[in-house]
Amino acid sequence: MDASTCARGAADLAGRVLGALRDGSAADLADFLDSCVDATAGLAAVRLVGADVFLPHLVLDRPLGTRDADVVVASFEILPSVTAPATAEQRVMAWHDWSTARLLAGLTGAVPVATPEDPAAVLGPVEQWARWSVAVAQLSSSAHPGATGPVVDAVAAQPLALCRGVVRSVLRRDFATASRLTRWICLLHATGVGLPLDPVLLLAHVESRAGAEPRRLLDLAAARHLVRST
Amino acid sequence: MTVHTSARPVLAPADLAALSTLVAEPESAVADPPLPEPNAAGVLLLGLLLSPSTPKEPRK
Amino acid sequence: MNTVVHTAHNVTARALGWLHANRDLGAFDDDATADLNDPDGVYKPLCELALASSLVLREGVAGTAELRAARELLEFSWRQLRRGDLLYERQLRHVLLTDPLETYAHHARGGLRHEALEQLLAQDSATDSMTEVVPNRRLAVANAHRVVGLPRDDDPQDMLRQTWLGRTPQPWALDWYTAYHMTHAVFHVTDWGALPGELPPDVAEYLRNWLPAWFEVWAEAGQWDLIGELLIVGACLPEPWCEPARWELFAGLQHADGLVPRDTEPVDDEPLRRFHDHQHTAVVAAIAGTLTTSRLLGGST
Repeated sequence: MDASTCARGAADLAGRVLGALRDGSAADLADFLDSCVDATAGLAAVRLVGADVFLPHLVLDRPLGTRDADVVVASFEILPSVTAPATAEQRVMAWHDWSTARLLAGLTGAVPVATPEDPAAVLGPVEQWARWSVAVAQLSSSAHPGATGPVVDAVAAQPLALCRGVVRSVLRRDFATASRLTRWICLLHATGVGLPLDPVLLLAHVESRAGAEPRRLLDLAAARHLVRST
Repeated sequence: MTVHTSARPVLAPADLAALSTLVAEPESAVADPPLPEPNAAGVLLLGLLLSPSTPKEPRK
Repeated sequence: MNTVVHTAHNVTARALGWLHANRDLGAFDDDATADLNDPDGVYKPLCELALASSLVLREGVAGTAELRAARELLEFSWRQLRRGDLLYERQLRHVLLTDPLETYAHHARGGLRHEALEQLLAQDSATDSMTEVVPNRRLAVANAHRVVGLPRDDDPQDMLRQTWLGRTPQPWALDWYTAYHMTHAVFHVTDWGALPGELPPDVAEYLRNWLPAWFEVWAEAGQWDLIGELLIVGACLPEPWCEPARWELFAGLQHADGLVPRDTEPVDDEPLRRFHDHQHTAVVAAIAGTLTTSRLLGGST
């Protein structure tokens, strides 16, 4: 598998999800896969975008079609999840996959999936909030409307660490990380967690500077839906 | 769609590692925080005492 | 002994030792007059030297050698200012300038007084003779009046609310220059940590929330002078913020001779240049260490 082809596919797919959110339609995953020259890279892209492929269904409450569900199932078949993650990247991947699989199960009525492990293993000690918040940013696809689970609970328990993390990333002008953390901030705000900063002003600040990368825009679109729902 | 439901290759562990790297996107290695402009005359004026410059008396 | 107390104490001792050993590099070339051609060249550093020395003496938590060095440095700057005559002449000639008052305050804090200057300052205060300044600078003037003991109807809390900090902006709405303005608002409203209760609870909470984030950002950028000032702010809070890891980082920057580099640029070998480039950061380090040591040992509560 070629990583850059996969990343390009993920950007394309994220753009389709964004379009679906805008138009009130579904992101046609099967059509996306048909458009890919390399089907394997296309499926890897689906896996990379992960739970975000379901954003139109979560936000617009649209049913998930069988063909689209099959594509997500197939994305797991070509690359089975790591059962015993050993590295930091594998731990992120395990939780990223878990969010995708759990939403798929919820939307299709399939059996729920087992949770990977203690979220502290992937996030690290919260005292090191700068590093902790980078791990939180890597799991931004878990911060969707209605999100629950161990990672969400762990992040929601540490609003100050999260807010310091996003302030740091904004001041570093790392707007990719800032976009992902802003999404988490907006999730916490949507669930009624008190925050020492204004999530709506933060979102506006980051939106103006985030650039045009579709996966970043998807993070910000999710964030926008979260603050709108409050 | 039929093409996609046929038997698919299961990718190698290296591919999973590559995908994990894409998922676990690191933060920007280079920070770009607000800093003083190198040539700003104000840099050394800042500090523990910020005094306005001394008025110059016109030369008679 | 608490590990931060130990670290902070050593940073002050070494920074003060460096300032003391190099003090002659910060002297006027010849007899300075009230019209300073370059107020930032010698005059401002002397004022900062007096500030650091007066705070070391005020807190009284340094060792015997450091207290002696601080006393000698304060007397050195006083002599350079012709025992206050230069400040007096400058205030006579330039009625609206505030720097004679602010410079005098550091010496008055250390017990070095100038009667005629005080009378002049009282007159100027009564007539509100002061140039218009930005809000954190206005707090500096108010604190100088407070330290010298000139009664006024200033309301430091109200003045604080006019500053950037007093409005507790969203914490990313900060740049390098404004960070210095923020630190100075804290220094002046608390009289350099002597009055931590002068920080309103919402501002104190705001600083506790965001100081760690700001420290991280400018530490990564190697802005050692600024992070030293952030450590001073931490020592001025009602509940001091002085994390061991932050102090270890700052102490680790200090050279063997006590110099603390202002940033990541190479330190010049030429003695005069070396002194002028880094004297401010040594002053910052001496103050940060003194206030942190004092607060941790239970002062200003």
